[in-house]
Amino acid sequence: MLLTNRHINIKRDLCKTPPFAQCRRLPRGMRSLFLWGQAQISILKILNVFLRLKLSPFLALNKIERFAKVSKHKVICIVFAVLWLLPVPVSAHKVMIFAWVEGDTIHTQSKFSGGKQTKNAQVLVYDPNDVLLLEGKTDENGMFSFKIPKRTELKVVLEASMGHMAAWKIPIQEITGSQSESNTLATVEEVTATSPSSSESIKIAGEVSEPSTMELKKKEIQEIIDTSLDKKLRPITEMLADSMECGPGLAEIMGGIGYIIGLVGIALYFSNRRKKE
Amino acid sequence: MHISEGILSPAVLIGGAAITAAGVAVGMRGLDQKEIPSIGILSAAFFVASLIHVPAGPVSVHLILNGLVGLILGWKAFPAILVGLALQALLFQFGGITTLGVNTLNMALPAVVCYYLFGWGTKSGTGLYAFIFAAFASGFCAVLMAGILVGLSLYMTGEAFLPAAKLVVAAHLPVMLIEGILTAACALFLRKVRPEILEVANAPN
Repeated sequence: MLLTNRHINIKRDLCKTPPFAQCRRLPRGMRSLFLWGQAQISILKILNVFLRLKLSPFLALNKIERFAKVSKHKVICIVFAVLWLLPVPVSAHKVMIFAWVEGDTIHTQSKFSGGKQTKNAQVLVYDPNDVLLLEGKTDENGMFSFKIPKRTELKVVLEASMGHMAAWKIPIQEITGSQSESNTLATVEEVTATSPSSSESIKIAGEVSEPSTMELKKKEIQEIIDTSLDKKLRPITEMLADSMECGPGLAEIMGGIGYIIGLVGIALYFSNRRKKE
Repeated sequence: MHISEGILSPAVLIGGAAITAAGVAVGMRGLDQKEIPSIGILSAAFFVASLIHVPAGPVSVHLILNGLVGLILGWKAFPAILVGLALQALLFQFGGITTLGVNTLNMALPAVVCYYLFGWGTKSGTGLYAFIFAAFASGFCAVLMAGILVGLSLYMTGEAFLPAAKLVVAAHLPVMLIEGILTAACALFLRKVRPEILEVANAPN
């Protein structure tokens, strides 16, 4: 399970402490499950201490016991059944696609919110006029890469199954970037190369020839810088792609529940007023 | 189960919204003050249930809980689910505002159907086994029907029906089982603790 980098860091720190050291050997997906299990065991231990010390009144277990006519242990069992049902990171139904340019290729990464990769999903690439340029499928890691088909603003659309869709726009600056500069240089060269017909212009061409080689060198240097920059920036762009997924946080959940409570309040207020009238 | 924006054709979107509006109107008609809190509670449960993720092969699925909502609320499931879905769209970006009507229809209609199919089983006076069966079947069938409806909405926009519906239903098989068990557990708990809640939608409008 892919988590945000912050989570991974927290987990790395956790893995250093003795009880969790063994989890480093586990594959990524299992690791979070393992840690979740460990967390539950510690909760259980704390609960046990409470029960031993006859502190259960603080947990209001007795009240629940009387209320629901079930034993204390059953209550604890139910609590843990619910805890097990809740997965470690909250996640659900949304897909995301993130695209970045590296040289003349565009890489895309797709996932469901919660970090699960979308395998075998359709990726469609459109130009600004909504003309389909190319399509492909994501691999096992939710990745799909393709050569830049057209130097315009591109729209990358992910169509996962069951009516899920997401889009990512790549602005024209990102695609042309340095290339636009070198392209204009190239056109200048072409102009100077085609124009000479008389002896005068040959002279001019001769004069121009020196800067043009310099321009060529410039172009080469530009390319070298671009490739090395791409290489250096790759981990950062990947990190960015990873952190793109951010499932709903506690604030959103609480906000939603608050909304519902508020709506109930409003509904009750109005129905109450109607009754009085 | 939430259909994203930009997938369905306008005709399907408008049709879904119209039917949902009718359903909400039926649900809101003659609303009793006593029922408002339970609608709110179930709406909140529905809202949060979508965050409980069930690992199922290549796709991502989550609990829906529309069976439980339908069993307890009957026609009032329409407003409850509409509120839950609207908040999910606004706060979680699940689904979308334009697809709100279709999504509500896809989840609330099975809830109402389940109420009529299995509502008899959860009223007072039924045997324990019949009660458990009815609650389980309600949770199970509500998700199944929702899956079929999602497939149908995709089909009406041009996707081949059978593969789409098959995929949705197959992906939701574990969810159906879990929902069935969860619905049965919740209904049993309510029967023990607050049997009157199960009688709320006794007389559908």
